[in-house]
Amino acid sequence: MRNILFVPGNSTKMLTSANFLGSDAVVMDLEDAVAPNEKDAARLLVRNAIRALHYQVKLGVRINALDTCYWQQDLKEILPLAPDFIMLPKTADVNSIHVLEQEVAKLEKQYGMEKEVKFIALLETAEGVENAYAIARASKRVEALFLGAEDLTANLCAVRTKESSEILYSRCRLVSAARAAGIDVYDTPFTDVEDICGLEKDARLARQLGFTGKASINPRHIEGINRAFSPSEEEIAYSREVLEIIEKAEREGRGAVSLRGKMIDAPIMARAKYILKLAGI
Amino acid sequence: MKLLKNASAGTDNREDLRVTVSPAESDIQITVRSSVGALFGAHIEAAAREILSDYQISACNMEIDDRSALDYVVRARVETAIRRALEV
Amino acid sequence: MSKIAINLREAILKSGLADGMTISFHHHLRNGDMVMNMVMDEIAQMGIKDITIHCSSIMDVHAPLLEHIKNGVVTGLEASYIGPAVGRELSKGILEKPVIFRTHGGRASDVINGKCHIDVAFIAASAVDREGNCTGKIGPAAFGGMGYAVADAKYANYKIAVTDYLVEEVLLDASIQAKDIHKLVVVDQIGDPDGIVSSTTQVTRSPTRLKIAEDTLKVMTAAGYVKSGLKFQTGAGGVSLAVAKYLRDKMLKENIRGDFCLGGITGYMVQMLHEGCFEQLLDAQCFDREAIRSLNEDPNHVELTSSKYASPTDPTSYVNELDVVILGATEIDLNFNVNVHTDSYGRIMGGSGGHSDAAEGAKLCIIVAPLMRGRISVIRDRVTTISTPGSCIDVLVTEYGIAVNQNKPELRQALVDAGVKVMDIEKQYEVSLNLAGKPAAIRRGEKEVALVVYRNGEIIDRIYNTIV
Repeated sequence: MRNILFVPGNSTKMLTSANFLGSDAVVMDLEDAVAPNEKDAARLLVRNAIRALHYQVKLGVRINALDTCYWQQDLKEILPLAPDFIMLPKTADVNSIHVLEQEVAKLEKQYGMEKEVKFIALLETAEGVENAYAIARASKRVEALFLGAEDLTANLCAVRTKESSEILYSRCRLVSAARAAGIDVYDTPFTDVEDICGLEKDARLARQLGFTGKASINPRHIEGINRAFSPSEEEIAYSREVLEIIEKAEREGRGAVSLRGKMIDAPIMARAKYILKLAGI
Repeated sequence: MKLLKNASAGTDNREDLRVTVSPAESDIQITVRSSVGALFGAHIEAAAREILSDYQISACNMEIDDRSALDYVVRARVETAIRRALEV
Repeated sequence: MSKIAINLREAILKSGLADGMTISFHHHLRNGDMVMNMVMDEIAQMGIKDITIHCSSIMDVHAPLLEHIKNGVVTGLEASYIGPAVGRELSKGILEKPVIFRTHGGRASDVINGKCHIDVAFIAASAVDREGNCTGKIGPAAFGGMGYAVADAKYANYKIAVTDYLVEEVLLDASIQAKDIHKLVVVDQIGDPDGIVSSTTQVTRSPTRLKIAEDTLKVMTAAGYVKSGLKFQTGAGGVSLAVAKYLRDKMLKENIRGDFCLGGITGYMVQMLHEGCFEQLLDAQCFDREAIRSLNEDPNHVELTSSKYASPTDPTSYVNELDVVILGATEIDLNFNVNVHTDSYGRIMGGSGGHSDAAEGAKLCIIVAPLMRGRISVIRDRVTTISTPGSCIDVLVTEYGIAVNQNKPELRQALVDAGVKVMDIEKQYEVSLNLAGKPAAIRRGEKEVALVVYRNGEIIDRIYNTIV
């Protein structure tokens, strides 16, 4: 997924239009976007929306954190709708994943569900960042790590800036942990809705650092994120050339291949395949 | 089941509705006020009755102020109000 | 003898206006117009009754007409568009005679060929010289071209120009010639500039509407029309304008130069002209200040009469040359018939304007609309009023998908071949039924409040009074 759009679980308009906002995935938020006295209302709205709206995009639900009284009811209501993933906020350690998995597995059995729902671990504390690799490997259900910079910077006693060097270590740590564990990793949303230039810069940095994609809290950011995370025409053309030349070499029984003076080795071939996969080719 | 108290759910936003329920003696009274009442008033009432029936509630007063909400929203808000009214 | 009347009353007296006659106005001043209300007040004070108003469009600013209808001063209306302020009341049946709706092109044609006889034409002009040459391009209440008034100026019995700006030098670039004007009246103010300018010339920011616009461009491209020589028309509203934006981006990226952009002109289209996207702007009316300024300054921005724009009886009218037109709808049915006259309750709130003209003339006609506006779906099993028949409508684009009229199988195939996903109108209708249920049928009355006269002169539909 190049982008993940957060949609407040209590907003009827956003839930209804979530399919058409141009994102690869949508997370229906039962946590921060919903006031405590509306948690029950949001749960039912999200449940009904998923039933009624036949979403084409990948669908996730951010449940409430494990230290609240809401998360179990969230799961009970939402799990039968078989979302693509559950996002667990404030994932601090391996134990969080185990607790979640235990509850989810119990409900899946109870409801006779065949497919196992995946998890995305939202790391937004120093502890979570430090435990990133262990969390990434805590369960085969964990399909991605996700950085939540706003809460994290508070936890770090750092100052959150657009320039973002205060989260550089955390970003790199998550990327490193996720890639070592063989899973995806998503960058934190850009919070200035109006600053599209700033958003694009931030998204390009995230791509450069190795993130799979980036989350957003506003549909207006999706185009910019897509641009940063979609391969450019030059990259696609080059990747095609690489694969063609490898195929040609295989047919002719040649081993070593070079393209415009550069040796094409396994990493370059792997990257070419990845680029074409991203481009949907 | 009997409603234990008054409760409400929803908002005054466009494409949403506000539902208020209160316990009643013997039957179900539903009042629908809607910006699209002439077209969908009957549907809104029918959806509310269905949910009351699902919860086996045979007596209540319900008021709905609708601003052109879709059916799934009507059902979610009605159900939320009912659940709240069933809580101690 | 001077053409300048002392006042409006003198001009009306000289015109010989009497009970039962037909008078006309144009709507280039849009919701800033003060002329119709001013003239009707004078006519009422003079004790004249039973007047038919033949106006290209009746806007919400003309709500005072309702009082004149109540008092029997006005007993007939003919227009191409009537806004909801007046329309909703008409739907209650306050007029004895049904309103006659035509299209812009149909109106021009009927005035020219005599089917519509106009006794007195009141022609608002933002500047007039002493001879009676009229323009809308300069003056405090400048509004651009005067295309909707030209047929009236040539064919009405008696023509009165109304202005608030008398100029001393002879107007060389006049839209209406002095020889066509009998009398001219100078009043304090013909229009409010803030009302003249349309409020809908911003590109939408709604993601749903942007998606519709993006998909619309995919349809145009797959159908093979986004290339050199493109002849294009789009509306001034949110989605329509967003289509222009996506088109512009593509034209600039791929160095495509279109022939013309036709119809109501906005500043966005002026920008496209400057950027080389089009050779010309062919202007039926100006929607904002940039358009008015451009019409004044740029020889490639050309004023059209409504006949030259859209007449059904003139084969050289420009709608017939259109490749693509982007239009809206309040309703569309499973046969692709489109309603732009009435709302879901059967109340009059619009009219064809140039809708049917452009839809019939263009090679590709695309309707853009959100599927759901709140709980109300744009797709019905049958439209409340047929404004434009389905045979003219090729594609519907909503946020849910792209539907192609089954009378255009090659177009559908072209889209599929280009990898554009098609979602049939029946499927989209089903989605709306699942989300909202089928709306209850609105009971309508027995009284005909309006006739919808199509481009070919036939009554395509009748509008009845509402009982709500």
